[in-house]
Amino acid sequence: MRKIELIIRSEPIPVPDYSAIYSEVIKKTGRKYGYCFFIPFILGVILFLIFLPRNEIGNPFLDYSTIGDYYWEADCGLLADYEGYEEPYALYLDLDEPARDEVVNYLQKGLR
Amino acid sequence: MSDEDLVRKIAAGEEAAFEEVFNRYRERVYSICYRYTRNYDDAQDLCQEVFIKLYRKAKGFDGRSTFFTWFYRIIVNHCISFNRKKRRPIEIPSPPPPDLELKMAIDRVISSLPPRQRMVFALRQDGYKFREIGRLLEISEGAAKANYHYAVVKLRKELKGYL
Repeated sequence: MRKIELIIRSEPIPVPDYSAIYSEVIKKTGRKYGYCFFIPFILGVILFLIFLPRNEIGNPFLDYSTIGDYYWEADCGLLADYEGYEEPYALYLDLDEPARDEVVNYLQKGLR
Repeated sequence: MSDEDLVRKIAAGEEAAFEEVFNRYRERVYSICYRYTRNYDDAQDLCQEVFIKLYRKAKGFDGRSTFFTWFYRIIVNHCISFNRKKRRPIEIPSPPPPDLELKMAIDRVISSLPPRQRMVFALRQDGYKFREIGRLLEISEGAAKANYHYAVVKLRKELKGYL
């Protein structure tokens, strides 16, 4: 047994890279700031969705070429440009209520 | 600065204090981990995990025992509950040189010891007295001696052919 003990005790212990161990420990114990950026980002997205300036972005479900053909018998985009609107949906919103209803009815009929 | 003061500073979030403790104890921690696992990579992983545990448990240090006892209990308990990761086996030349063969046989027998016996044996090889081993493992000095005795008997029996 003495021989085994001698072998074990005299056995050189390989020296590890202590600085690598330390940096790994610090990395794993370090405070995580991820949520500090994540939460404001999510809040920003929510606020953006709530206060979305709808009129500027437009309505993706309207087919402007159909509206344009029906109401103005012209290309809606060109018309909006000519009238000084930034985009066709703004032109549509400027229609008075009966005219707007008429367009909607026309579109609904088209869908049927 | 005493270890106890340093651990209180670690609890307060002072990284410099943690670095100081790391530098003071890294060799001793690694040595125990290596003697217990008898594997370079496992010992590194264990050493790393022990220091992470120290960092996280620093707030729980109440000063009832010395830092040495408190910290070594963390090391010992962590080693005992350590699950060896599956690693790629090391390529061994065939036939292995006689020294390597004996070393491998020693590794195999020590690895097959029950965790407590293995830890007692590792601490003994690291130069700790039975009284200290008993205190760290929260067992009596006699129990530490008995565990060591069983480990030695097993080693002697299994390595008979090499002696």
